Amino acid sequence: MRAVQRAWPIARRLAAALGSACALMPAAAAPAGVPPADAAEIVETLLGIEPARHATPLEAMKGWAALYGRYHRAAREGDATAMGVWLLIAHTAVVKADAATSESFSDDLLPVYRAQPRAVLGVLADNLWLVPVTCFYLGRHFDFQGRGGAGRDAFVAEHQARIGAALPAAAAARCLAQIKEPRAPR
Amino acid sequence: MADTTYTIDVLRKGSDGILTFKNGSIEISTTCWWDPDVVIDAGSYIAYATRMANKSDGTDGGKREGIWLGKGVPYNSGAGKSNGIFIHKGTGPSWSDGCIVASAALVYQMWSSIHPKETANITVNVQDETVRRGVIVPYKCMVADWY
Repeated sequence: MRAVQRAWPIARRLAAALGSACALMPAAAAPAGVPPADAAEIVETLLGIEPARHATPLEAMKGWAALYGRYHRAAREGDATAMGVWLLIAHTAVVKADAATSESFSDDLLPVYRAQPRAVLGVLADNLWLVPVTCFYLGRHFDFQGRGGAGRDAFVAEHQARIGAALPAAAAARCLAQIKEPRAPR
Repeated sequence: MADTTYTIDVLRKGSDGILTFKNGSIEISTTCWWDPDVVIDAGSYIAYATRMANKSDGTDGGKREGIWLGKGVPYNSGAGKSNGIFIHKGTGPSWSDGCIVASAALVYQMWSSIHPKETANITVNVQDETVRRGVIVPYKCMVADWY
């Protein structure tokens, strides 16, 4: 319930951004930042509304997976806005118990963090409400698909100081707690 | 000719269950698992044989094969509805964040036998085993034994 309550302001902000973007841009212009259709799909998914850009439930499932793929690729390439959107998709996966998307994050988020730690922590520093979900997936990676926790202690030892320096103390502690003992923050 | 429809039964017994599927000469009965934190509600779901676009470890070398249970699958006794529940390969509950997982070879055998793909031609029945333990003692006997 609290997760849903936290998601409402995000949805409102996204909806406001979408409205502003639509109002300011000519219809044919390439959108800067988050493409309005992507923002709309995320808002619709958070609110349990049929995504307007997809005609059928199967297309919607595939479209959401494609959205994940686009932002995953862009985040890996170091696009800061894409990183934020990708972590918002992670938040959405947890809030909506989207198992398939969640399983993708359980696999993919840690490698992206290893490659782009400053970019991930930069998004978290500006959006502390994304800390629990992001750090949950960092920690979940070590248990996922039978990994049995291998590598977790070494990762914590390597990254504890970096996380502590990037985030306020309470957020850093919450992040490290999720990495050590991940529990989906629903 | 009417399109073929398929049935997958999942009988849950505590922390794991039995997945059964029959199609022609193929008969599968195998152990399956799921994430104990996201448990879909018992019921019947219309499903699709498809692939998981963001998993590149398909048994045939492509994207991972899966059976998608459709949109709005209720979980945790109606706590919410999920659009991302699949049956896919896995060797235990740690492979799942809510999906039902079973042996890769058997999921692939089942998935391969379903035609056409990307079609709502599968019914997945998820049931929980009802366990009855002990002996029902007649009321009369219980009262009589007190005196």
